[in-house]
Amino acid sequence: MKQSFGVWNKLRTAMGVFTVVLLSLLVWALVNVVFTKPEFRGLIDLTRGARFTLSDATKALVREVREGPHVLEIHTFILQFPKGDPRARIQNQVVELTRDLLERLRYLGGQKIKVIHHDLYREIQSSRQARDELGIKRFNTLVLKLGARKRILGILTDLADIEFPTEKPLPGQPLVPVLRSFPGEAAVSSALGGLLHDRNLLACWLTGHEEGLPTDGSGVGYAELARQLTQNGFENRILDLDKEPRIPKNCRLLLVMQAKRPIFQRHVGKLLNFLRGGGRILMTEGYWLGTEQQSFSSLLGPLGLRLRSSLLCNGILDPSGGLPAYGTEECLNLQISSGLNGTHPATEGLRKRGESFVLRWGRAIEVLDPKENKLEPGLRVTRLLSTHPFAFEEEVPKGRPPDFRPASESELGVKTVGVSVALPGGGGKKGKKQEEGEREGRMVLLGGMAFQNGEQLLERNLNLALSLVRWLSHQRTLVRTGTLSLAKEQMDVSPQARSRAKWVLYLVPALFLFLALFVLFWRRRS
Amino acid sequence: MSSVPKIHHRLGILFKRELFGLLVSPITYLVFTLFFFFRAFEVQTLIESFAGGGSPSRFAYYFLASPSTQFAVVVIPPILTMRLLAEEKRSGSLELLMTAPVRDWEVVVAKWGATWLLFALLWVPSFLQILVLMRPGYLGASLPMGQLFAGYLGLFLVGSLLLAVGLFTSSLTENVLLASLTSLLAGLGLLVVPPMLAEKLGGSSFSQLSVDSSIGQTLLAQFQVVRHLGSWFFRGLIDTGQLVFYASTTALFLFLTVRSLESRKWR
Repeated sequence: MKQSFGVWNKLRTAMGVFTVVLLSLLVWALVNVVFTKPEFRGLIDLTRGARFTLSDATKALVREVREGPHVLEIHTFILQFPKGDPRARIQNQVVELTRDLLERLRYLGGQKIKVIHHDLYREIQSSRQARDELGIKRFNTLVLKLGARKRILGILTDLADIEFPTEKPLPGQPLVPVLRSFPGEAAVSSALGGLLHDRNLLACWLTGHEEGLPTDGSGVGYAELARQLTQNGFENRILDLDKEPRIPKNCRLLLVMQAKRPIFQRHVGKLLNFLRGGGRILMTEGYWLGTEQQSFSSLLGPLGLRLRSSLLCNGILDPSGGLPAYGTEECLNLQISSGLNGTHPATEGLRKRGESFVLRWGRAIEVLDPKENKLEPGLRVTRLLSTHPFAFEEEVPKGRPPDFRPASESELGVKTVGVSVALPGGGGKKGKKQEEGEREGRMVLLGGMAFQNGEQLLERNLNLALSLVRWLSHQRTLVRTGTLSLAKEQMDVSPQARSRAKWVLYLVPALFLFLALFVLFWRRRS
Repeated sequence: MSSVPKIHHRLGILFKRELFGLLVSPITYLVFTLFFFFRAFEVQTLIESFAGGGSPSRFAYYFLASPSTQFAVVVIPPILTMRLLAEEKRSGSLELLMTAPVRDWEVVVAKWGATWLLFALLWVPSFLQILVLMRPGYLGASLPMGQLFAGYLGLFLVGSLLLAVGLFTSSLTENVLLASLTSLLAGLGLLVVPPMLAEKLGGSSFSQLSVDSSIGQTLLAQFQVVRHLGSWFFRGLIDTGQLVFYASTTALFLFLTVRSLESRKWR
């Protein structure tokens, strides 16, 4: 009887312990479920510059995506630079920061934000298919796709601020670029803001003066630029001002590309009013061999600009530092590199990255004195692109080809081939003061062919085109967020420092070995 | 009545006894020597790879996430905990200890606390190393203190969990070797199994986790200790959900250890 009571008691205790253990497991599971819920979960970001903390502006955009009907797809296409390439280290750093940024966006976006990193090396077929579907020709790009609309960003150009040293490196040493900052969040948020808010982003292409058109796929057409604009959220439309009473208000960007005939006076008024009302114009003009050069003075004069009539050439620079060469058609390729304005928002980034561009069949632009020419008050003209100091103008006699040589050395000099014009907003009325909320009118004039189809646009000038278009059109949707500064983070390890570090590293195990021997000896003695 | 010591006094005595036992063991120092020797070799290679320049944040990440760290996290807790209860059971000193005016949970907490402190002490020289390495004349860069704090916090948390697991396995058997092997397997299982399981289930992986993830996915992600360290703590990020996971799971295993000790009364 006594024994059976003991067994029963043991069984009861075991049952009690089992129940308590089960209950504790349940409590543990419940606590963990509760604290993994987003409402109870917090993120403490102790990284330098709090790089994982998204700004309120970005979070608000993510909320909009979550509330909207479409899923935001973010695609990345990264092609690794070879190991020895000095850009490879920076690329790794930027890619890591980009992935971290996208990871946070994906986490907050839930099912409404999908991030797809296309592995170009392992998933060859699927990544090629994705590139075809998204119309991506370049690598190291990030595509934001919301519904049918998309924006394309360059990972190394738009998401990173990379500075190339201006001084020549010592012989045998590579040119080492420095990653100054990572404005990735601002770039991605701005693009997302554009996708969400700029539903009618319209690029109007002026016609009626023998301009180059977006429908023209030939070497002198602009089908490629139009495609790039589409990829950046624009809808292209051809605009004939004889059929429209005015330039439509939703026309975010007006393109006047390589007009061969003078712009009619009746159209000039509409264009100027468009600018005064906050409109944005991108105009390119060049030199037409065998015809009279148009000055467009009725349009450009009030804006303080004059297009020269002579053909602009420049000497071909010798990389080894010798004298520039003249006399070949190559002189038509106007080299724009050090002549990029480093303080203007449209070209600042390009200058920092050490990018260079080519303009062909160009003409110089003169900036008129505002006092002598009675220009509108508040008008600001800024030189954006200039040639190197060995540029010259050549008068080409009719019926004879140019000889691409300067008449004398005194003709050589820096020539302006790109300017920006900012006109204070005034509701389209001359002299009216800009009120709060009114946009300033902006125009970029390039005195040469830059964005036509073909190799020139694709390989050399696309970044310039996109940078100008963004400055002209996207200002309102730019999201201002903090930029992660990285310049102070760089380490430099000299051979002497490495040698000293060795001592620090091997001293610790030596000390522990000594302690082990000491304890062993002490224990044996005691 | 006044001769019975108060709770904190009792805990203090037990804690000192355990810590002293660990500190006078030459094995402890030999393990530390081995660990820091491998670590020195690794960090030297790491410094060489940063010779062309690089950011201190990246350096700190690789400094924290070196293979020797994984070795220390997986292997050292079983070594420290294997003898704690199994050896005492085998030698009979546990019964002697239990006759003293102490509670089971006090014994468990004191033993766990002593091993945790020793585990934490293991990382102090490593922190001092990076502190010196970042000074001018060495790597000459400013320390990413926040990132280092988060990294070491992660190591302490994972360590506390694995030590609690080790203590629990040590309480289940009288065989020291079996206790250490079980603890090692449990630690390895915790590091390896959840990612494999997530891979198998597809879509439940840590990298797929978002605000819309299901409870199952989120809980599974909570077990991915390696990911917690690599993707969060070592990079300077602290997820409060993970803090709760480590604290609650450590407490759970300590509780189970107490229950296991108690079972000797009714088995």
